[in-house]
Amino acid sequence: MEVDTQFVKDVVGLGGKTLKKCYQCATCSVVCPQSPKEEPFPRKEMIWAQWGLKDKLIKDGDIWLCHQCNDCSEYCPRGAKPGEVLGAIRAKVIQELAFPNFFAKILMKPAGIVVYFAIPIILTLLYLSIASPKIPEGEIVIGNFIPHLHIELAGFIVGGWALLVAAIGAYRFWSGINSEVSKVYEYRLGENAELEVVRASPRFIECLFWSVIDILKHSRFAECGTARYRYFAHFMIFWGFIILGIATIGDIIYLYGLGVEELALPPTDPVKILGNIGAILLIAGSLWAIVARFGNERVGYGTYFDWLFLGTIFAVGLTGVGIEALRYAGSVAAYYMYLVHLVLVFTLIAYAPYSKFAHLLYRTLAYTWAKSVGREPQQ
Amino acid sequence: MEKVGVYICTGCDIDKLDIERLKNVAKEEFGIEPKVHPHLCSQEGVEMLKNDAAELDALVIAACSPRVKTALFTFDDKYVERANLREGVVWSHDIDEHAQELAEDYLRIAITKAQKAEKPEPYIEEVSKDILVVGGGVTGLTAALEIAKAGYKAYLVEKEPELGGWVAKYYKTLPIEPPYTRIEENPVFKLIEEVKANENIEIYTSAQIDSISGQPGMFDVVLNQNGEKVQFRAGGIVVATGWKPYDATALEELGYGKFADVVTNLEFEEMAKNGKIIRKSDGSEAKNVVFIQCAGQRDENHLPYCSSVCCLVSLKQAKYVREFTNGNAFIIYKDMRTPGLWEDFYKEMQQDDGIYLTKGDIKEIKEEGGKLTVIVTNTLLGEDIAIKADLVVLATGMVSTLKGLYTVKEEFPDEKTVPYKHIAELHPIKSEEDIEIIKQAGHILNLQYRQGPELPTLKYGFPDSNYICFPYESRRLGIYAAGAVRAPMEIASCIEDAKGAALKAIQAVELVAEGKTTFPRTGDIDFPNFFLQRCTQCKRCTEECPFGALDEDEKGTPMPNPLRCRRCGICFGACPERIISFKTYSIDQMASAVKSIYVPDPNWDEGAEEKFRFIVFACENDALPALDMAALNGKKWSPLVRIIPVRCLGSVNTVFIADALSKGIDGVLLLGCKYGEDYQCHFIRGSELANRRMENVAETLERLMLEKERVQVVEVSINEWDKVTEIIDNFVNQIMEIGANPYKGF
Repeated sequence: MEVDTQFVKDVVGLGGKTLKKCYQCATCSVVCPQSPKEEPFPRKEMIWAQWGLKDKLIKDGDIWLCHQCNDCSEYCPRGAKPGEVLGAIRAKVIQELAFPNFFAKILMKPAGIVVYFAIPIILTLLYLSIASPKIPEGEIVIGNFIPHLHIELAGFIVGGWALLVAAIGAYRFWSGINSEVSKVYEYRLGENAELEVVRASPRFIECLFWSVIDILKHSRFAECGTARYRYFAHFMIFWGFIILGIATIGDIIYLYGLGVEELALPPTDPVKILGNIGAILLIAGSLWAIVARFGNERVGYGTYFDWLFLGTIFAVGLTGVGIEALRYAGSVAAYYMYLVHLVLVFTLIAYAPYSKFAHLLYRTLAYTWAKSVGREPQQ
Repeated sequence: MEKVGVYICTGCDIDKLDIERLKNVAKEEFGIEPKVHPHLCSQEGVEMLKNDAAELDALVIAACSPRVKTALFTFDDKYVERANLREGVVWSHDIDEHAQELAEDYLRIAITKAQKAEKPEPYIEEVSKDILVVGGGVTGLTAALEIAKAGYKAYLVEKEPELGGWVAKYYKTLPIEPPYTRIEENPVFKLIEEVKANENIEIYTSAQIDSISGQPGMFDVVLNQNGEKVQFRAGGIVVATGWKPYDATALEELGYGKFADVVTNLEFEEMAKNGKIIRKSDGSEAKNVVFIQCAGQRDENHLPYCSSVCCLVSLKQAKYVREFTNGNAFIIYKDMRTPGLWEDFYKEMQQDDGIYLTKGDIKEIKEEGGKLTVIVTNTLLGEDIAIKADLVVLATGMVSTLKGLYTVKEEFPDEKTVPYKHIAELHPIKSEEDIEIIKQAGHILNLQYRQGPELPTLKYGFPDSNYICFPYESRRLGIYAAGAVRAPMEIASCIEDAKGAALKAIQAVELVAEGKTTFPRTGDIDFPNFFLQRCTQCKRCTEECPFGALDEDEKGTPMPNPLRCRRCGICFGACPERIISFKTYSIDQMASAVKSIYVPDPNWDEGAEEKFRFIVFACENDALPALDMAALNGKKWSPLVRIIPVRCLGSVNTVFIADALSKGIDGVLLLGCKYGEDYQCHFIRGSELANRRMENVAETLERLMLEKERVQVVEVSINEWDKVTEIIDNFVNQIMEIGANPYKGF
C-alpha cells in the first residue's frame, strides 16, 4: 500500500479542496444517477483520493462516467462535494496520462497561462516575420492575408501533435482501466456461477459505436438532477463544435471539390449559415455555462482548469464571429481579430490532451469500456 | 390523624358525578362534613383550604390526580391525601353507576389513608456538611474545587503521591472548551495549582481509605496515609476514582507483547510526553504509524462495550505523528465513534493530508525484516490492504476502577444463581473463603455497610445509576460517582460530571441536615420505624434494601440508618412480621385502605354478581403517570378497578393482597416498572422483588383455594399509556371469566 501525500495535495490543489471532509457514508453513491449497482462510485474514489492511491485512480474508468451532475454534492451530509472532487481527480488523471507529463503540470498551474499563450503568440510572430503577409487593400478577404494552404499545413502539424499525445494518453488509459488494478470491476458471474474476467476488447467496435450514439444524444447526461443546466449547455457546445466541423468540411469541399477560389462567403450561403448556427450554439452554450457557474455554487464552482477551457471555447467562438462581423463591416480590424482567433484555436487544439478537452477522449473510451463490462447505471 | 377535612372539587367535569352521594360517603361512613368547591385550585379555593388547614391534621382533596397541582395543595406539614376523581374517574370512564361507585371508593380510600396516617417527625442529627472526594484526577480535582467554591469543605484523597491522575501523564489533551476542534495544552496542572491554593480543600496524597462507616451527614472516614491514620467526618462523598486501561497483554492476537513496536495508546502518549515518537525496537523515528481502534473493545472476549474516547484519542495522537515526524498516520476503525460535538473534532483532524482513515478489520500483523506489516480486511478501499508500519498503536479501552473489586455480596453470590436479574455477570463463588480472597484484591471506599464495601455495580463494573435521568446517583445515598469510574469519558465530560456530582453531594448534605431524603422522594422526612420486639431476624429487609440502609447485629436484627434511606418502602413490603412502617405509609394504613373498598355482597346488594371488584397497585413513578396520560388521551378502562398508588411495587406487602382477597376482591394486579438488565425501577429492584414475592402469594392463594391468576404482576414503562388500559381490561376480562371471588360477604 503506497500512499501518496503529494497526490492528495495535488487533487486538493486542483479543486478537490473538500476531499478530506468525506466520511464514507456512501450517500453520494446512492444518489448518483450514473453509478452502477456493483462497486458504485464516487464513494470509493473519494477514499482512494484521500489515501493518495494514485495508481488506482489513474486506472479507474468510473471517474469518467461521472458527468458532475453534482447530485452527490447536493446531498453530501459533510459538504465533501464529491462531484467537484471527481472533477479535480479527472484533472489530475489527465495530467498523469498526458505526454510529456511536466508540460501538463505547467499548463495546469495558473501561472502556466504565460506558457499557454506564449507558445502560439511566438509561433504567430515567427510566421509573420518569415512570411511577412501584407494587409490587403479593398474588400476584406482573409485568404488574401494568410493563404488557406498555410493554415491547413499548420492545422495538420498542430492536429497531428495533439493526436499523437492523445494516442499516448489513450493507450495508457485503456491499458490502465483494463489492467489488474481495475479488475475489481471486471468480474461477471459466468454461467456456472464462476467468476470470469470480462475483457473489453472483443466487443470494442460495437461498444464504441453505441457509446458515440449515447454521447451524441447526451442520454447519460440527461439523467443529471442538480446541475441540469450542464446538460443543456454542454449539449449546445458539443453540437456547436460538430456543426462547425461540418461547416469546415463544407469549406474544404468548396475549396478543393468545387474549385471555389475564395471563402469570403455571403451570409446567405448554406455553409455560412451552418457555420453561424454552430458558432451561435458554441457561444450561447459556453456563456450559459459561465453564467450558471457564477450564479450558483451548488452546481459547481469550477476551478482554474475548468475556467481555462471554458474561457478558451467562449473566446474562440467570440473571435470567430468577430472576424465575420468585422468582415461584413469592411473593417481591416478583421485581420487582427483573425490573428487572435488563430492563437486561441491553437490553444484549443494543441493543448487538447492537456486540458479539459481531453475528457472527450477519456470519457468516450470509458463509455466504451463500461458498456463492454456491463457497468450500466442503476435504475 | 384525628382532624381530617374532606374537600370535593366539582370542576373539570367532576360535577358529572352525583356529588350528593359522594358527600354522603364522607358524612355517613366517616362522620366528616365535606366541603364542595367548584374550583379548589382557584385562588379562592386554595385560600379556603389554607384557612381550614390551620385547624386540621390532614386534608383529603377529592379532585385531580396527585401528580398535578402538588405544590398548590401542599400546606406546610399537613398530611394531604388526594382522591383522584378527575383523571381516575371522570376523564377515563363513562359516567354511570359504576363510575359513581368508583368515585365513592376512591373517597373512602383517601379518607381512610388520611385517618390512619400519623404525623412524621424528621430524623435530625448533628451532621457534617464537608464532602469527601475520592480520587485526585481531573474529575476529583474539579469536584473538590467546585465544592470549595460553593463554600463547602472538601477532603481530596489520592492514592498516588502526586495529583493529576492519568491526565498528568498526557502530552496534550482533547479540548475542554468549545469549539472542541483544537488539541490543547494539558489543563490538569493549572487545575492542580488551583486546588492546592484553595483553603477549603484538604489534600491527602499517598492515602487510601481504611474504612467509611455511618451514614450520609455522618460518614466517619479513616484514611491510611503512608501508614498513618487520619480520621475525619464527612457528610457526602464523590467517588472519582476513574479508570484503568484494559490489560493489553490479553491482546496477543494484535501483536502486543509479541512485537516490540506494538504499543498501547497510553505508551504512545508517554512517548509523546517524552518528546520523541520512536520505534521501541531500534530507537529510530516512527514515520508510519498505524492506529488500531477497538483494541479489545466491542469484543465479547475482551470489553463488550465501546469506551467512547479511543477514537478521539487516536485522532489526537495521529496529529502527534504529523507534528513530531511529519509522517503518515493510519487509523483503522470499526466505526469512527465521536459522539456529540466531538464530530467537529473528527472533522477537523480528518482535514490533515497525512491522516488516513478507513473502516476495517485487522487480519494479521506480521514482522518482516524488522518492520511490521498490518494486513487489513473489509476495508472501504474495496480490497485488503497491507500497511508497512514503523509503529502500531493499539487503542485500548477504559475499565472502571470498580471492576473486579468486591462491591456487594449480591454481585458475588454463593451459588451459581443470579440473585437479581439486573446483574447479568456471574461470579460463581462458592465459599466465604473465596469472598475473602476477592476482598483482598483491594478496595476503594471500604464502606462498613452490611451489604458490601463498595458502590454496587452493573454488569461491566460501572456503578449502578440511571445514566440518562440520574447520572451521578449510586445505590448509596450521599455517595455520587463521577467521571470515568461510572462510564468511559474524556476530560471535558469528566469536568462536567465532576460539577454535577459535586452539586448532588452538596444537595445531599443539605437535605440530610434537615432529615430529608434525596431522589426520588426528595424532601421526604418520614422514615421507616422498626418494632424490633417482634423481629424474627429473617434478614429479608437487610438483604432486600436496595440502598444498604440497614445494617444488622450478629443475630440478624436490623440496625436502621435512616439517613441512608430513600423511603421506597421495600423493607416494609418485605417484612413477613409487618413490623416496619412509616408514619404516613404504614401497613395498617394501606391494609385499611384496601379494606375500605366497598365490595357488593351478593346476599344483600342488588346486581352484586355483576359488580366485580379489582385492585391495581400502581407504582407512582411509572405506572401511575402512564394511567394519567391514558386518561388525558381519552383512553378508558374498566370502572370495576380501584387504583391504589404505591411508592414502589416492592412496598406492596403480601398482607395487602391477602386482605383484599379475603374481603372478596376478585383480582389484584400489580403494575410496576420494567426490571432486568435495563431496569426502569426508581428503586432499582422493587418490581423484581414484587415478582419474586408472588411465590409466597401463590401459597396464600392455594390456602384460600383461589386461582393463581387472581394476582398478577405486569411491567409497564412510563410511556406505555396506550397499552396500560389494555393490560387492565385484559386482566379484568380474564378474571371475570374465572368467576367471582367466593369470599364476598364473609
